[in-house]
Amino acid sequence: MAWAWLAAALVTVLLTFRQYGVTWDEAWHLAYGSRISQWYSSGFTDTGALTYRINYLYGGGYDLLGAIFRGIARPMEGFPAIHLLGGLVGVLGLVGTWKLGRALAGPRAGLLALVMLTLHPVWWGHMFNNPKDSPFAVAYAWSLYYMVVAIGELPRPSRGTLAKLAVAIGLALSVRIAGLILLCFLALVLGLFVAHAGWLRRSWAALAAHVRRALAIGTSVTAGAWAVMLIGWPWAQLDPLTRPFIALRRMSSFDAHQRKMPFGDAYVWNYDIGWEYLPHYFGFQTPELVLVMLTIGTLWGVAALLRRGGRPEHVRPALALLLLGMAIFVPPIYAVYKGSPLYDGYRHFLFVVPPMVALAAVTTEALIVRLRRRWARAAAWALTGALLVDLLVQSVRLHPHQVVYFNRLVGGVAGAIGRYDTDYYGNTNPEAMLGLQRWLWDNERATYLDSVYYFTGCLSGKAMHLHVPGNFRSFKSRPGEQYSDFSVGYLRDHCDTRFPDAPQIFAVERDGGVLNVVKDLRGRPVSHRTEKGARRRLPAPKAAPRVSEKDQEVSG
Amino acid sequence: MMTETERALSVAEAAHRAARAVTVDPSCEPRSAAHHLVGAWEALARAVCPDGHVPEDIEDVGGWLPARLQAAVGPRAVAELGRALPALQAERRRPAWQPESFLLGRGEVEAHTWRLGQLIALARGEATPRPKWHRRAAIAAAAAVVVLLAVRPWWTLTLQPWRGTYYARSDHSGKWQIRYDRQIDFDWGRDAPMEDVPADQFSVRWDSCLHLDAPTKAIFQSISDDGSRVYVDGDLIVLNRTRGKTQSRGGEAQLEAGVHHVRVDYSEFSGDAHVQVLASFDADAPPAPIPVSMLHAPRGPASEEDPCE
Repeated sequence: MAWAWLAAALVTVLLTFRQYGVTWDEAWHLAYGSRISQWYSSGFTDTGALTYRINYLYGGGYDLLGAIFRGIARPMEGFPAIHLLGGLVGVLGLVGTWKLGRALAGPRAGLLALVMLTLHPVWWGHMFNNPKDSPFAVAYAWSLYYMVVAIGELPRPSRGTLAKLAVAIGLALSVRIAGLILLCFLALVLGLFVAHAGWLRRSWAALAAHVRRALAIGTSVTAGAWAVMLIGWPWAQLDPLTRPFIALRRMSSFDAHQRKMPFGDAYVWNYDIGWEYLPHYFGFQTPELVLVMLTIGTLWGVAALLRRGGRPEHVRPALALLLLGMAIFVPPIYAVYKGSPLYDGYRHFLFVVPPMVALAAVTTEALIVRLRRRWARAAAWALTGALLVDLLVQSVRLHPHQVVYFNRLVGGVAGAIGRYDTDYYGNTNPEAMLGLQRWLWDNERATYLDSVYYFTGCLSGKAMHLHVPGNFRSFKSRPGEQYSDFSVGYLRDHCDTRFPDAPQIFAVERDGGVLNVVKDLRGRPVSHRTEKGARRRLPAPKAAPRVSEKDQEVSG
Repeated sequence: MMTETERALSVAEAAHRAARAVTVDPSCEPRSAAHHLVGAWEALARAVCPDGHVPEDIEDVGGWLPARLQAAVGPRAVAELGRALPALQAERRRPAWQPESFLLGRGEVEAHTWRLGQLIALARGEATPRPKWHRRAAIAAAAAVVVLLAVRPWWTLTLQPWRGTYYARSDHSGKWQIRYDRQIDFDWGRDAPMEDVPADQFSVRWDSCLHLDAPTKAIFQSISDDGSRVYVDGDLIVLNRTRGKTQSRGGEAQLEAGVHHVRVDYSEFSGDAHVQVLASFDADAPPAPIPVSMLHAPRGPASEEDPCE
């Protein structure tokens, strides 16, 4: 059944990958991937990848894979090809989470984890056009899975398991150096196991033997992961022991993107946010079923660890549970502790979604099988199924803008608009442009064929060419003075409120919330159609001269 | 109620678990697993030998292990298991006070324990036989084919519907090269469209055959920099004269059912170069790329006036 579900997910990816918009980061990642590819193809003489924007501080493992994939997929264009790759890698993440659920609590929990993650709108929405957080999350899920398998095989995990774990962690590191946290988890798990074994045997010799074994495991996995990481990271190759840590230090205090954003009832700077930022987004952008089960599972897990964690027969499940808990909670708590600048909801913490879903699935399954009555179990499964179907319906309604999902605790998308970041990636821009094209065809058909329309907006003109014909062009390519005919504006940076008094001709709406608006600027003076005039209001029309009482008397 | 076989298998599993616990523990001597391993072997023999015909000496593993299990783990594994078993039995028989070297290393005992575990699981029916390398390779190849088919659709490997004749001069004359294109949507910027064709002062003539099932009012649109023309069956439908800036022009044609020759002439003089040709066969829909399913590449020679006949 899980394979059938995965096949359906794969078919959905193949059918829909072209419908997702091009996001802000993608063009840079495509270029970085090409530069890494040139680093190798030029025999390490083309050093473009060593200084490319800020990207050189990131491993380019996924970007390099993207460059190879684009080569295979030619003549498919770069953006559609990378969206297809993203979808395929996202499905790989589903497989990883399925296996993680299976390894934790058996096939039923695995299947439930698979279904829950597939229907998690934020996860699905990010799969296609997030070239950093989504592949990192996939590698993170697989790393956790192999770590759980290795825990089951302790104190002597098989070479195959360790090799796979090293590759998975290496792939995570090759996308974001923050994957080092996985090596910390591994060290902690091994340390706890060794301490437990030493405590059980009460023998220094036994403890020393276990420490030697744990060190061998930790060192071999770290070395393997490091080697995998370096493949896609030319900048780090030049000083593999120092530069990754320099990147880590820079990334920990990342402040390249300073922006204001809505949060609750305020409008705040992203480096000036409180601890409540991530809890708010996780609370409101996680499906209710996952949220409830995650809460129960966390409390249950803590109680189980405290009661039975130290028993010899429970040490491996306890370590697996502890690993899962750490994988979910440590990264966000660390970010809050460090006061890291945050923005774009929990996009940068997408990697905690698979373990969250796995824990929620394990909890759901465990709760249901504990019910004594058969009818109660059937009713519980039916309720779970109904909630999942509801999630599927919501996901379909939001398509292809699943990333803007907000749960009912905040009132859905409509409740979140204006209070939280929704379409921070500009995924709605293609739909807005297509809406504009349709509107022009329906309303101005006589002139449509012979017209070139210039648009402005918080979007990439080149990327839009994927979705609309060449007679829609960025205002930057207008000969002479650069002004626009139409404005396309999503919600970030108040882009939708530019050209405040221009008539709105189309809006992208989901679940009662307006995510993007198209405005017709053609009736305004040129000075109010340029970027400088984007926030200017037209002067109010002169009121008719008032007729004084005296004049009235005279005329009257 | 457990059968005799199930009981024996449970004993074998318990003994194997004990052996594994000892084997993987770095603080234990590997020889201390011998007792449990031999116990597991004996229990396995009781479980798998029909009607209790358990051999007195289980050393000859190949002699008593059912062919089904031997085939599942492979002959090499059976041979290696049989090679290590005498050393384990000798260790089990050895009196505790009698010092004697143990012939197997830690790695050999670990490998033996792992294979025995696999055998017991197979006997229980819980494990699937380890796929042979060629089966794994076949599965990997099948997965690769699926991905390749997905990312590299069949159309990329076959003839494209637009025959493009690329000229190294802007007036569709002089040296030319032919290339087949999927659709007319190119943004070359200031680059050359192909080798041996300059970035400026070049031209392209695309020919294709359009299939219509019913009489249709077709709308064509050409957006280009520099100029372009669209002909259907030799009639000029779109004239897009421009130089140095993007311009869009459209035109309509009432077409009968059947095959029509569509020709697009594009000329680039200097600066940026791009061209896109769209069509609509449904008045309600704005022009879009012409579906490949409606086109086929001309089969006649490039110089022919109507290559679709």
